[in-house]
Amino acid sequence: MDNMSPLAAEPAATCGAAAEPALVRFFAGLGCDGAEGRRLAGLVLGDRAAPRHDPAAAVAHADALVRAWFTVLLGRAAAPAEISAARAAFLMLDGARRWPGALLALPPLPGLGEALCATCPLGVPPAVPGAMLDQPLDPVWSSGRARVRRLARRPGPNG
Amino acid sequence: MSLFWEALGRRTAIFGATGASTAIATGELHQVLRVSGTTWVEVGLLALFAVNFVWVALSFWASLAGFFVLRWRLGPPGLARPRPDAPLTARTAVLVPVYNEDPACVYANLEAIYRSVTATGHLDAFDFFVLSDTTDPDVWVAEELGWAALCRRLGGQGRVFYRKRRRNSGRKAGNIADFCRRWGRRYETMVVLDADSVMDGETLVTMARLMAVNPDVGLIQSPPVIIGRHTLFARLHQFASRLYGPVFAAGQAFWQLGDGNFWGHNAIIRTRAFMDACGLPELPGRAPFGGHILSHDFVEAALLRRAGWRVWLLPELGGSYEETPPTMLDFAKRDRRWCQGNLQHLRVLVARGLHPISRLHLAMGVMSYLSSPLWLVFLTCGLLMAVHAQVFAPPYFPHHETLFPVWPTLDVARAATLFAVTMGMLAVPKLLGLALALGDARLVRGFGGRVRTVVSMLLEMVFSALVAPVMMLFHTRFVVDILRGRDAGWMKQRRDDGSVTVGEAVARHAGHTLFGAALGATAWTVSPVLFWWLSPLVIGLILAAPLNVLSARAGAGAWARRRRLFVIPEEADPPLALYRANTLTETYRGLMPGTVDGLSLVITDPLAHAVHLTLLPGHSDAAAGDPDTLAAARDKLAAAGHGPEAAGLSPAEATAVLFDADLLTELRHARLAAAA
Repeated sequence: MDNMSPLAAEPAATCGAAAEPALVRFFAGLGCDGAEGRRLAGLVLGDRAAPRHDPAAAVAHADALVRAWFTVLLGRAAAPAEISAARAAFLMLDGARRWPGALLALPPLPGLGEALCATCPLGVPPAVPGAMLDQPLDPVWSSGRARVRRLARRPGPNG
Repeated sequence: MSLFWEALGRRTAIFGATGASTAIATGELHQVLRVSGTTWVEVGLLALFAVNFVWVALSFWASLAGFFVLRWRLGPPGLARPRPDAPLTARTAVLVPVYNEDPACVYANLEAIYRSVTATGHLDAFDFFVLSDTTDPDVWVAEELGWAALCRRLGGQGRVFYRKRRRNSGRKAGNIADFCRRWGRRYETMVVLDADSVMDGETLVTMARLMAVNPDVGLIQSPPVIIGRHTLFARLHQFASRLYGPVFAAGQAFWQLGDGNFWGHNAIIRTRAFMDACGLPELPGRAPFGGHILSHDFVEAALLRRAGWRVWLLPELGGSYEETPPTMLDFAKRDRRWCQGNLQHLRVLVARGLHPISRLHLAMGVMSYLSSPLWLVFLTCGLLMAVHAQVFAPPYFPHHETLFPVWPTLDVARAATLFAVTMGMLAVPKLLGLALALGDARLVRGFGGRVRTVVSMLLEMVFSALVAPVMMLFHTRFVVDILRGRDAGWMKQRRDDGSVTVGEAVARHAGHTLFGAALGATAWTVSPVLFWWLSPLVIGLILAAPLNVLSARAGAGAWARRRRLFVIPEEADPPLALYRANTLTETYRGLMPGTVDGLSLVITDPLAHAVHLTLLPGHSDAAAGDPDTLAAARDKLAAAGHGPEAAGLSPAEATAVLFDADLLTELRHARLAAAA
C-alpha cells in the first residue's frame, strides 16, 4: 500500500468493531474469503472516516472505497455501470484467487486493469439514434373520401 | 426476360389453373346439387365451396410447381448470386427478441449460432442482441446472468449485447422498432430470430452476401425446418413439415418471386429499408381489431413492397430451424393469437398503395382462419339439406301435373369423383414431398428409410385427417370470439415438452365430442351412406380428447422414435449448430439460478448484483418507472425488514425495485450488515 491509497498501510486492530463481520461478508462477496477478507476489513476500519460501529454505513463506506479503486484501475472517470461491469469482470475472472492481495492495492497490479477491461461485460453499444416513423395504413377509399370532403368544403360561386 | 414478365407468366399459370379448377369443381358440385332444381341455399353452398376450394387448388398447383423447381433445382430468376468467397463488408445485427422464455434455451441457441458464425471466419461482420420484453422479474435476472455467462464463455464482450425494455409497447414489433431507433443505423442489415430459432453460420453469411449484391432487396426469408420436440404431436408436425414443407415453400417461392412475405423470424432485413418503411401505427379502435398490429410480419413485408423493396422467400438457403408447440392445445393457443392477428389484417388489406400480391398474402392469412367457419357452415348446410330431403317429400311434379313424376336421382358417381378429386388435391402435395424424398437416397435414410417414410406419412395423414375437424372447431370458436371483441392478450409461448392431463383434455374437447356425436347421429339417421362419408370428421371429433392426451405424451413420441417413425434427417444426422444448441441447453441450466427469486438473487449474490447494475442503464426508459409501485415496494420492504423474500412483493413491485440501482445497493448493504 503506497501513498496513493486512501487506506492505512496496515490493517487496524478490529477488535470490538461491530462492523467487522459485515465487512468480512462484503469482501467475501468479492471472492476474498478468510484471512484476506479480514485483512481487507481491517484496512477499511483503519480508515479514519470508517464508521466502526454501524455495519450498514461501514459496508457503504467499503463499497465506496472499492468503487474508487476500480475507477483508478480503469484509468478514467468511469460511470457507475462501468464500475459495476469491472466488478462483475473481477468476479467472473475469479480475481481474488487469481491476483491475491490485489483488491484495494494501489497502484494496481500491472496487467490487472487490462485483464478486467477485456472481460468487462458491455450491455449495449453506444446508441446512434434514428427515426422510425409510423406509416399510414389508411384504406384506399380514404383519399376519395378526403377529396369529397374537400370539394364539399370548397366555397361555391357565391362564396 | 425481366422479373416482371417472369412473374406475370408464372402467376398467370398458377392462378389460371387455380381459377379453372375451382370453376370446374364448383360446376361439378352444381351438377350434383341440382337434383331437384337450384335453390338459394344451394347457391350459397356453391359459393362457400368455391371460396374454400380456391385455396385447396392454389396450394395444389403451387406445390406442383414447387415439385418441378426442386426436382430440377431451378434457382429463382431476378436475384443476383454472390461469389461464395465474397468478403462481408456490411455489418449485421442478429436479434433475439425474448418474452419470458427459458433463458437456458435462448442462450444455448445463441451460443450455437455464435460459434457457427465464428467457424465461417466472418464473426467481425456480426453483432448479437438479446432484446428482452420479459415481464417476470425472476426470468429477467436469469436472462442477465445467462448473458454474462455467454459473454464469458465466448469472449463475446462488445459483440453480444443485452437490453430489456421497461414497457413492452408494440410487443415484438415494438421491441424490434426500439432496437432500430437506438442502434439500427449501426447496421446495414439485421437478422430477426425467435427465441427458439437456430441458424447456421453459413446461412447467415450467405444471406448477408445476398443482401450485399442485391441492393433492391429489403428482406430475405429462409423457411425454417421444425425441430427439437419430443411429444408425438410435435414429432408428427415436424415430420410433416420436413417432408412436405420444401414442396410447399418452393411452390410459394415460384409464384411470389420478389413479392414474397415475411414469416416474423429467421429472415434478414435491410435495416434502412425497415426503418424507413415499416413503422407500424396503432390501428384506431380497441382490440381485437384495433390497437397494436399483432401479426406484424405480413404487414411489414407489405410495407417494404409498398416502398419498392423486394421481398424474397428462398427455400434453398437451408440451415434455418425453429421449434413447434408441443401439444394440440398449445398449438391451438398459438393459433388463437395468430387468428386475431390475421383477422386484424382485414383492416390492413385495404390500405392504400399496397402491392396486389401483398394484399393476396394478407387475404391468404385471413382465409387460413376464416375458412374453418366457412367449411363448418358448408358442412352444416349440406347436412341440413340432406335432412330436409329426408323429412320432406321431393316435388315429383315440379312444373305441372303430368302422368309421369320426376324422380330425383343423386348422381353418386359424380359426387364421389368430386370428393376424390378434392381429397386428391389435398393429398398430392404430400405425395410430391414423398416422391422427392424417395428419389434422394441420403434424404430418405434420414427419414428412417423408404418403408418407414411411407408408413410415417400414412400415419401422419390419418392423424392430420382426425385433427383437422378439431382445429376447424377451434378456429371457428376463435373467429367468433374475436368478432365478439375478445382480445387474446400476450401470453408466453410454451417451448418445453408439455403434457395434457385427461381432465384438461376433456374440458377443452367436451364440446367437440358432443358436436361429433350429434353430427354422426344425424348423419346416420338420414342415411348410413352419409354417415360413412362424414365418418373421418365424426371419428376425429369424438376422439379429440384421447387423441390430444396421447399425442401430448413425450413417451409416445419416444416410442415412435425408437421405431424410427416420424424421424427427420436433422435428427439422424444433426447439423453442428443444432447439436450444439441441444447439448448446451443443459450446460446453461447449470449456469442459471433456476427458479429462484430474482430480486433476492440480485441483493444476495455479488455477481448477479454487479451484472444487473451493469445492464441497468442500457434498458429503455430505465428511469421512467411508476413511482407509486416503487413506493409501495419500499413500504413493504421497510415493513418486512429482512429483505425481499419476506416482503411479499408483487412481480410489478419487484420489477420496480430491480429498476432502481440506488435502492438495490441500499438493500444489498443492509443485507450484508444484517446477516448473521
